[in-house]
Amino acid sequence: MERPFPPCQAACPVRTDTREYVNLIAWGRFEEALQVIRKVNPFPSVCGRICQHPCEAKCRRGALDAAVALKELKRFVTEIETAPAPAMELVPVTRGKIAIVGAGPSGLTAAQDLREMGYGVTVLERLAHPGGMLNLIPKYRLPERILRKDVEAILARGIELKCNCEIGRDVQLSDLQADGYQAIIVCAGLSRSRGLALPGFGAERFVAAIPLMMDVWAGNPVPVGRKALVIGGGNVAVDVARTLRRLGVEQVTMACMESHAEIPASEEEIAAATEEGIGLMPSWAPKRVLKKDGHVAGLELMRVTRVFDDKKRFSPQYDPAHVKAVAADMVVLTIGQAGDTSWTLGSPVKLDRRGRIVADRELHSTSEPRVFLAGEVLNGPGSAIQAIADGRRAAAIVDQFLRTGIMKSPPPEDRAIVGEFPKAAHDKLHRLDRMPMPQVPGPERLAGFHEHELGYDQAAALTEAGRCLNCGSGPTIDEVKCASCLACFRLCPLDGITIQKKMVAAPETCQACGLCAAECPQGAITVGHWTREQFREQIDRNLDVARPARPRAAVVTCAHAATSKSESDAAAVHLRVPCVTHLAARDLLRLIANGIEEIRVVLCSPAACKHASGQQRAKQVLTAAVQRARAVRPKVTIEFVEAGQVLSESPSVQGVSQ
Amino acid sequence: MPSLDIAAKPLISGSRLERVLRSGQFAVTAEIGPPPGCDPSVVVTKGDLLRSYADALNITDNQTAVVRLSSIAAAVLLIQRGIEPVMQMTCRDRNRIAIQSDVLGAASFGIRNCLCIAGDHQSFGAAGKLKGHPGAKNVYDVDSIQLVAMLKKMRDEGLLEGGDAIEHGGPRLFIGAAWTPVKEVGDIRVLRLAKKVAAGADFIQTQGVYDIEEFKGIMSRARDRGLHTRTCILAGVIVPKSAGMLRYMQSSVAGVKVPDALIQRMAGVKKDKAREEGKKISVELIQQLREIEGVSGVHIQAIEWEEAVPDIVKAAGLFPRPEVEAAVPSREP
Amino acid sequence: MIVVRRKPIESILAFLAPYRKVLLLGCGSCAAVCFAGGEKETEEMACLLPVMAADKGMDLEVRAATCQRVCDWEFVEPVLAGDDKPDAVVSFSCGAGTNLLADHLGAIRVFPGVDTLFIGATTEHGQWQEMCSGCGDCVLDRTFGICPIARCSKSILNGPCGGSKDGKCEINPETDCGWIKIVERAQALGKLDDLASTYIAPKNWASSHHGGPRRVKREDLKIAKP
Repeated sequence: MERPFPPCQAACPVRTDTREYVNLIAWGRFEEALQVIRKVNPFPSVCGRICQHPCEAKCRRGALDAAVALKELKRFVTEIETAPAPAMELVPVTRGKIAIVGAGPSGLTAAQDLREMGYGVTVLERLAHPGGMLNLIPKYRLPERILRKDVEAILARGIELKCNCEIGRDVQLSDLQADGYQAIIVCAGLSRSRGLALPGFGAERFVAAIPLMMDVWAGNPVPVGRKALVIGGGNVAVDVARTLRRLGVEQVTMACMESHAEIPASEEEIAAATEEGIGLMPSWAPKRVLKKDGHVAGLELMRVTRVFDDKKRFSPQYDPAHVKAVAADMVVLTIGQAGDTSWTLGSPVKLDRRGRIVADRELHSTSEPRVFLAGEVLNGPGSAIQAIADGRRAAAIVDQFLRTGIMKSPPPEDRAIVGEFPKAAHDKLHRLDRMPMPQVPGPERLAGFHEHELGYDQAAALTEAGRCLNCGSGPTIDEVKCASCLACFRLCPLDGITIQKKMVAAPETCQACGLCAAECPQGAITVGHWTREQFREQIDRNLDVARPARPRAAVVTCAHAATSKSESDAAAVHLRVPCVTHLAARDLLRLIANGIEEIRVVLCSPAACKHASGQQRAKQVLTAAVQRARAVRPKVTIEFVEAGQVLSESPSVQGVSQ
Repeated sequence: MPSLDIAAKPLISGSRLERVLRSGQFAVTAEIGPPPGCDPSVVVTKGDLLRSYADALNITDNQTAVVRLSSIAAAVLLIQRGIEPVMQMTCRDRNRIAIQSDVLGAASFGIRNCLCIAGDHQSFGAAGKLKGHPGAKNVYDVDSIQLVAMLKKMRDEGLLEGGDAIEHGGPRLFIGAAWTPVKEVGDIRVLRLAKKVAAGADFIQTQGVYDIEEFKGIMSRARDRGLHTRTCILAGVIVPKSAGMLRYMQSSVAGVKVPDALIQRMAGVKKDKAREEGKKISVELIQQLREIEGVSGVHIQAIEWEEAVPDIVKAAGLFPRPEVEAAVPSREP
Repeated sequence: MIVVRRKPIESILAFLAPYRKVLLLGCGSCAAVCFAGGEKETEEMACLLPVMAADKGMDLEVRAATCQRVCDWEFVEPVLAGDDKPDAVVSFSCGAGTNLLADHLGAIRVFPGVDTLFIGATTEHGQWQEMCSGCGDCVLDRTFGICPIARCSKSILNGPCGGSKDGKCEINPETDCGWIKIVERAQALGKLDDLASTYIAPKNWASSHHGGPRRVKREDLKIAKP
């Protein structure tokens, strides 16, 4: 039976196995963590910087203390220095070729997926560089090299990229159709800023967001004022506002229709903006432009009384009598984006009466066979990760169609999601603070477009990853093996196991501490991915590596305690367990049977251990195991050492073979 | 013919039975069944009847789990009349504490011969018209071989089974064990005899023998192991009263094999002559058994017919019994 | 398993004379496996007892429930939870379960619905045989896996006794002589010499029930109270 989705994975549009990569990080297995992410996400580095992290919103830790910093952990692992990857073996082109219009996140994702399936893929990009809207994200949030890293990795799979090639201008849809492409996926995004019917719009220093940001990206000189007013409440508005600050604008104010509670921009962005001295004026909308000497001198704003109606539809209402004049010598509108549909003119792709492309959102199809849409051009504004997911969907539909001739959207998932914590378990959980993100001090940030979030170091990452609650990891109780001995039921520190005919575990409660699995007399329980076999292999491998020497000492370190330096004994066998609570008597006895006489178990202090309630039991069981072993090996000793405080420079844990 | 390598060994217990066996003469023991009552005269009468015709007299111990005057009490009655008893001790009714206590008690009266047997299961007591005590809790704290070893430890080491010392040293015992001399899987009966001898059995009284050939075979195998030189084997002879009795023993009594020919022989005799025939058969058996190397004596069981014994002993040429020094009812050698 | 046998229904009914609301508690382990006290049997009892009670003019309300195992209180507790408590419980588990119930149920009387017979194994469907007497000091290493204490009527340790006839025990012609089985097994394993030379000394019965009611206490398994 499939385990339920952890909420983080369920929330992710591409179903990243977040729990898995976080746990791998916690165990020091960074390379593997990166592979887990890469398996579903072609933009790991980008997402590690700018993803809106719907996963964190659903992280169950949020109800306890604070969500695990899933995005920051992703960032951490994408920054790991790795040995240069061996030259990738390219998938041979065994099927036809497909053209993709737009090298943004949805287009490049579709491109990678289809390329990996054996199609020949050509991507046409309007701009001089790939990346689409990602390019316009300010560099202090998404450095150039990060975006380039991901994009190059995608293109390196053998995808042909043609930049400066705009559909409808440099090439027509019909050209592509005639050129033997079996399918065309248009991922053109929403490349135009919406404007307002306000007089003066388009004048100097009264501009729209996208052209402004394009200029900033291109390094073109951007005329700025001293007081800027940014109209809009989304992340793009914040991007613009913070960019203007870095361009030297002394006073930047954001005004948006939404109330404070409704502001679409993320809390983090709003917080950053506020820290940078950007003012916020929620519930205000532009009424008219104020001019002085022919230049824009500000806006008169009117109160917004409501943005959405009771059916949540966009239906703003104003109070024109309640006005406020805001002085500004620069106004930027960031009130939304629209797609450029001019390329459809003269093509068989139809538009509706409102000028939108006629499309089936389920099937990604247009009125023209073999011409598909994906990303924001199909679905409207969305996040990068949503675009990635959408590109994937489109690729799957196209592949299905090309192989079978049938248009079918991928079947919906039917998998349960781990529910909320039962209160009783919740109250027993240990509170652990979220690791703060090291930042460039406030005043220094505005000096330029350098990143001000510096990223976790290894110690911080290990600690933060250790906060993961392992939602839905287990335990899985094999009904056939279960002898109903009741040990797991009695042992579980969170009362997560109930008695039915056999023992049944509640996935909402389990923290994957592993006590039950270690204790089960029938070996009927598995928790998370940790298995007896794994540890046995680890032991065998490490002993093998030590040969011909026969080490007498073994140091077993809890993965979460690995953030601290423990005395490294070069002659000892070093082993890693997710938590000391996973360690079973059998594991120690295996060591002892192989000649180990001194066992040191390094674990977190009870205050730091997220399985603190289980630690005592683990110590009891392991001590008893050693007592038993003394019948055969009288000199065997076991010592429990609490890991010291977190140090920032700890030796690379990758030296420990897993 | 008796063959016992005894010349060099000192007397173990000094009992009359031991002395007869030591002297190399063919020993005779007979059995008395005590009454299911407390009248001592039954025991005394039977004892007086047989005293000249056997070297020692076995008194059974609640045989077939029927409550009778105890073997130890009957042995006291006999020894007080100068008759040598062989006390029988089963494992069914007493634990090791009671057994050792009774042995010390018996020894205080000068009783020296003790036959160690497992004892019939208590369910046997409810048979025929008897209700018995089939629901009694049996003991079997030790088995017969452990009992032999226990008595040997008392006698030779002066120690109780648990290790405590017996005040003023252990009792002088002549330790006996039973043997069922029939062919069995793995020849286990011979192996078990060896265990009894190893545990310390000084003399052996066998279950009744009717099949001489089979007995010869098993004695040969016992001799192969030298058992006949380390213990004295007295072959059992059960005096048959009727063909029916022989048939019953063949079908229902464990360890007794009756050849068909013998049954036919008894059946061929008129009912009023049956007992005579039975005596005759017994004499023949004794004579045949005497010929077998390693057989040191004969143990005659005339169940509820002790009167038959004198005639049999005489007819077998075993009367009078040899003169040896009387067993001294004290503990000196 | 522990082999139990249902008591006659009349006996059970006789226990219940002073009671009105009775719970028949079945056990899903040994008692069920030997078809004496599992769900099926307790439900049968739940049908028959009221009928018999009515015949005798008794006012008896009977409910049946079975739990996985009566000898672990956590399985029983939910069955007895709730406000509708019985006046008496007839336990169809082995004596261990019945005793545990008595330890836990203060004002509610507990009666045995079965006779607990022995520790045994299935020899054929519907047939169970005593195999182990729980002596606490196993000698099966010396008797080739066949227990002389449980399978010999006299618990002889150096057997067989003279009462063994044609491989059967003197007390019952249907009862195998345990010692002959041991000898046969030794023979099959080529270990007759071992058997011949092995003397098993008098047993220390202190580890058996003769030493008093027994208890096992594993300190290494103890779950500390939080």
